[in-house]
Amino acid sequence: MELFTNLGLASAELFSLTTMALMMLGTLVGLLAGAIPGFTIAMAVVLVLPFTFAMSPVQGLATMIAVYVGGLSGGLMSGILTGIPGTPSSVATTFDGYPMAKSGKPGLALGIGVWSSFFGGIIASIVLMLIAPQLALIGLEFQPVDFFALVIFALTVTASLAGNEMLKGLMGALFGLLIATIGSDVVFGLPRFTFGIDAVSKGFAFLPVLVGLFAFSRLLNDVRDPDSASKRLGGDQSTNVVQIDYIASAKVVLARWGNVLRSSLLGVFVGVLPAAGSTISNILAYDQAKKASKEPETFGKGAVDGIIAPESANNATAGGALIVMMALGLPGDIMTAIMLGALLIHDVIPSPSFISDEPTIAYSIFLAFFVANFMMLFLQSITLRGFVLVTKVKMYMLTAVILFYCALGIFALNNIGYDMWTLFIFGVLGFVMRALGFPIVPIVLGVVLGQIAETRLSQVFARGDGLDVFFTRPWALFFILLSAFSIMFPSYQKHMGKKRWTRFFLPVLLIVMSVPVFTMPGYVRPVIAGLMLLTGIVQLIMRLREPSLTADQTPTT
Amino acid sequence: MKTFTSKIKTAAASAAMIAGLGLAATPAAAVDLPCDTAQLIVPWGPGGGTSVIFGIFEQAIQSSDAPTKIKVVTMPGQGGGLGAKEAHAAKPDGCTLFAIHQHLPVNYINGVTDFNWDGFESVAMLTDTPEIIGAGGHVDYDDLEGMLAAAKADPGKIPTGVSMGATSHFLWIILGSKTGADFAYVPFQGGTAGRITGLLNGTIDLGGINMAAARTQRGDGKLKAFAIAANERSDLIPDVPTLKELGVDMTFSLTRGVMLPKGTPKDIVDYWAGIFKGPTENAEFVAEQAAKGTSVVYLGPEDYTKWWEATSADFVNAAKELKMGRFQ
Repeated sequence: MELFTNLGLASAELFSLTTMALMMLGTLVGLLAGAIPGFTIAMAVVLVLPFTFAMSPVQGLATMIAVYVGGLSGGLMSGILTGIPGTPSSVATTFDGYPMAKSGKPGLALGIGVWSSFFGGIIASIVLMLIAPQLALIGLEFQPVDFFALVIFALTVTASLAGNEMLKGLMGALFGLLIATIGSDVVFGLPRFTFGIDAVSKGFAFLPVLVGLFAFSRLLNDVRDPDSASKRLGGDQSTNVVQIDYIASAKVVLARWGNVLRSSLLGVFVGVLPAAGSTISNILAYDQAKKASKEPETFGKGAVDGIIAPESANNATAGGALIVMMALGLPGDIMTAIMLGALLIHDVIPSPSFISDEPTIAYSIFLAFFVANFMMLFLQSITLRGFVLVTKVKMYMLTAVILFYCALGIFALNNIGYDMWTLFIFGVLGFVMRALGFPIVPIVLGVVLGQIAETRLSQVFARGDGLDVFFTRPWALFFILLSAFSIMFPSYQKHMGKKRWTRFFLPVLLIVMSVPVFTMPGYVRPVIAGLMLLTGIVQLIMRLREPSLTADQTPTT
Repeated sequence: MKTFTSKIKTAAASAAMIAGLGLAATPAAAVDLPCDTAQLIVPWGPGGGTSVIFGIFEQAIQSSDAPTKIKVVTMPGQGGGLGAKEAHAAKPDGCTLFAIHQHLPVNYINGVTDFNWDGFESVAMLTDTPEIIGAGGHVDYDDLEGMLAAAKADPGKIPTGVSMGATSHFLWIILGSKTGADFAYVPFQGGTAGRITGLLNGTIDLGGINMAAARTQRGDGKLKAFAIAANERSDLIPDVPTLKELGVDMTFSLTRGVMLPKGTPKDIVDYWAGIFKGPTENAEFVAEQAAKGTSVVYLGPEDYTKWWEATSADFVNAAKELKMGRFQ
């Protein structure tokens, strides 16, 4: 088979001692950069880039992929142990990872995180090897209006993330969107809401806002009085070294293979869409896991599924982004943009025929991604031992060190002092909002999505399209309909089995969603739509024939 | 390598050399800078065309015997204006350099900066990347003539991807003013990649494309290239005619170079010009850039200043004609 010939060619190129050593080093650099809040994966890749100029294309790319994979997984260490996401890609990991670690099971939480990252990466690399070109074309189907609908859908996630604080969650999301409007408008670059301060015309960079809201505010909260400041991060009972039981945690993850698979595929899908990336995919996957879960009330208190979903999704997203970079020559995020630059330096130009023209390089990239996940697993098991020692440090010392690194990382991002002020201001703001009981995630979501939404919507109108495109383009309609169901979902989950309408929720969902899927190009998706429609109708008929439930009966679904 | 102990000697020697040899500023003619490493501000994000090219210069200077090394510092924002302001405000001591292309006249016209290229001392022009007039594979016309006819038949309606008020926008504004055509501008940010996605999936009909895309995506019929805005055809895409051949008297390229803050002493300007000249004479670098459609063109401080005067005038005149930005 051609696949194996190409893999053979690529492995001859990839599996040299030097390349393997470089990849190991790259993974380690990525892990460390990912683990330090404020240091991003992009930064690590940028730092590595100049060294790759002198390497062969395969060697250079393999090293960068190793950094990329290491970084995506490194974020979970600080996310789970300190509750501060090491990178934006592991924001959702903190929701359940940190509570689980605090409840005395840090070893289990870390083990689950590491294995989920690993399986996410492996699933993505398999998808990558099998259907890269076809998948890349889906990314191309997304026109501005479809993107805008996707953003709307992502915003509805707020409803389920906000939990009981629905009103505060919505206020937070709107506040986030407001923050995203400050700076320069996305169309003409003219200053907006700057109050005449020149520095503000740059707007608030996403990362300082994120680190401020998450890391700084949490740290402030942890040292708010002398008593809590002298506590240890892991509580006083965890003074003995944390053991990570890899076999037990692997079993836990494998038992929930459905969640791993769903989150990974979702991650790949988001990766395929240009400019979406793992910042969004980890939160979306978390939300989907919560919706699919039989016990959504455990989420946020240390649910296993709440760790599996974001960690498998963010590693899988890297795979999706690589697909688009190679098959279309279009970078989906900053990391793949840098890799594309590295390819161009060696006069290797990705295009739709890249995978068949340059099989050695293309399959080396697939393989490197695959191999890097194993290296990550191995290195995690070593570095974690060191990292868990963090839990034994007293809070006031730890706070100072983490804040120092945050500020350093933020400054190095754009080399501008203003970003550190942004970090400070949003840190204080986050502290106040936490104290008032506002959930932080909707704010972050608003900041991330605000600018994408505005850019895309302005493109829709600049093209001279009318509002009807929201309903005539398949993907746009798909996400608009999905948003409607997503908004109703928390209420469905709450009343499931108690109210008659909830019985029809899933069949109706299937039937309605089959409409946009049916109108998509190709043969595969119309067939899927047909199946969805059929399943929906069969389910609907079955539910209609069931005797009506009384309030005390338990649901049979 | 020169050390600080020979400070006075070096200064005297270099002054003597420059006085004696005139333009022969070689890297050896070191002036004494108050830093071991000078920062080169690149006003765009990492991974972009400009930072990659200057990354190569950084590497080359790092491995040369130049006494002062450079470090690329990326400072993206405001379409290059943010980094420009930072570099403009820096001390004119030769320790802060600025990587520039035509974004600065554009920043000035839009009012993002209140200084133009002459807010800096011109040091050296380094590379030149001509723009390619591109279209999506889905459009009906196959050449520039057809494109202009379509634009005139439906003025201001053909969706054209540009970064509003940036160089990619001016390409079409100037083309429009030379041919009487008018386009509908769809804002795209983040450089060429987003625009090419838009062309491939039919969001936009027209847009400037890069050499990489012109070389690979046309074979599949997904993109079309109508003209290259250079003086001569490119060896890489010899079938694409120049605008001049097609009767439009216009060239338009992204020209990258280095500047120093206003008021930097002439010997420091000449010193850096000599340092940056080194890599441009390296055959491997020239070949690498040629493969990306970029030609390496070195111009020293005097010629580069003259080039800026002419180029900036083109931009400002086009803006005045259309009453854009500060000329409203």
